[in-house]
Amino acid sequence: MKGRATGLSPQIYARFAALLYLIVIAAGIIVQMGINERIVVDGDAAATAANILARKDLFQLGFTVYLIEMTCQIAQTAIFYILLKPVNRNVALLALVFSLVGCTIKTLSRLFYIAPLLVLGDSNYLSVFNVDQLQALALLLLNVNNQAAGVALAFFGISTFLNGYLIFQSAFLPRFLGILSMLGGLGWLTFIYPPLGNQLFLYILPVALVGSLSQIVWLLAKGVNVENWNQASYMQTSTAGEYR
Amino acid sequence: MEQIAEALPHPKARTIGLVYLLYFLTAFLGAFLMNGLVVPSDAAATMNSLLAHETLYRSGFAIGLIANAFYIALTALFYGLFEPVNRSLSLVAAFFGLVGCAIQIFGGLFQLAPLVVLGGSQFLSAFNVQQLQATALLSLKLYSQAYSIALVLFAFYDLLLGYLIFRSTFLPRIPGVLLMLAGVGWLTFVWPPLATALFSYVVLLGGLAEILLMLWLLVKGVNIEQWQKRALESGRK
Repeated sequence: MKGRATGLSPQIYARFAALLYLIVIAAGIIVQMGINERIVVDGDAAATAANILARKDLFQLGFTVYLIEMTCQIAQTAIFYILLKPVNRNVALLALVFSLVGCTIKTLSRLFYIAPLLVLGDSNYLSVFNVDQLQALALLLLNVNNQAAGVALAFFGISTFLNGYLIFQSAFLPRFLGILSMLGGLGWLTFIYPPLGNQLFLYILPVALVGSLSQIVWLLAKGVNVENWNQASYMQTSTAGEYR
Repeated sequence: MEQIAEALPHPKARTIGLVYLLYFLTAFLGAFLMNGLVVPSDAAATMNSLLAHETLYRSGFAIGLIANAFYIALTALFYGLFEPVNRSLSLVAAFFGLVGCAIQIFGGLFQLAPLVVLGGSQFLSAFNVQQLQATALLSLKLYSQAYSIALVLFAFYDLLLGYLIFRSTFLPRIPGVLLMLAGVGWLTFVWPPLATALFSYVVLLGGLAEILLMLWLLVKGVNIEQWQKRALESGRK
């Protein structure tokens, strides 16, 4: 009997994972390039506040796209776990947990992204502060959002590295994808010390992006080697005696 | 045949119903204790009532935390219950529920912060009283905002859970459909202005769907034979 541990073909998981991954990356780029760069003026609280108020809908849209990004990333985390579990269940579980913690932190950081709207809205009760103070507070909150997202990146670094290791070890995905993913993971890990991460960001980003995009393209175009995936999955269930 | 059925794992539907009930009771009690203490857009009135009823406020907060703990347990229990229907979807659903809970719990920080801000610490005298009160009210608004972020995650949780119920064959389809509709409702929170407009309908639908599901689990449980059949099938594949 040819073993099949799960009902669906791994190919469907592979395609779905790639699609979600693509949305996550595209969403991040869209908000950063299309919205934040038009609104946030580094170090200039008054200009930033004026931009937020003038383009309230655009700013709100950035928040919405961020939330969609996070829901996709949570689902992507789960599907990568299912896909890579046959290689080594414990390592896959570890990657999953790190990624989930990262997702939680990143989702929370978006609270501070939308908070400037609360501060700059014309609520009466805030009139005890003067306008400069409220504008400074709004920019401070945006910076907290960045800091929190940076903390999440460190956690994603670990999970990306572990997933890369699993891909490298697997017989159903090419090794170069694993190496790229491990490199990208190490890059994000520099955010454990944020000044270092920020300093190297422009070098890390292309490496990580090449890693992610090649993974997406491969999973979409080729998927996994189904025979080898099924075999790995079958070996795991039979050795673990988890036949239920 | 009966012996085989006895030896098979049993779904703990009544336990799940009970945990669900405890969640509802604690969540309502927590909200009830804190209800009326916040006066929207009046910082001074809100803070005076918080300080006057600090114990009540803190108890409401603590009970709310317990409600969250019940919901985390519930998420894990639902994962086990629906694993035989579709393991992967059940896993994804559980993660949405888990992250949603984590965000709600973290959001609680902003419910407690006003007590710190208004606690009368010496170093805070750099701000005048009105400013401290405004900061405290802003913190409560951040709490609401964190809560709405969690609702987006619960939207996906409800959608997936509703689908799993619908496909389960061991639970009736109606709570599944209602839960999916509620999920669509909570999804309005990706665009907060829309959510504000539809809020009362969404709450009504969401509450109805969840209470119906809870009652069904508590009173009727699940069709054990069907559940075991699904569990066997999913293991054999």
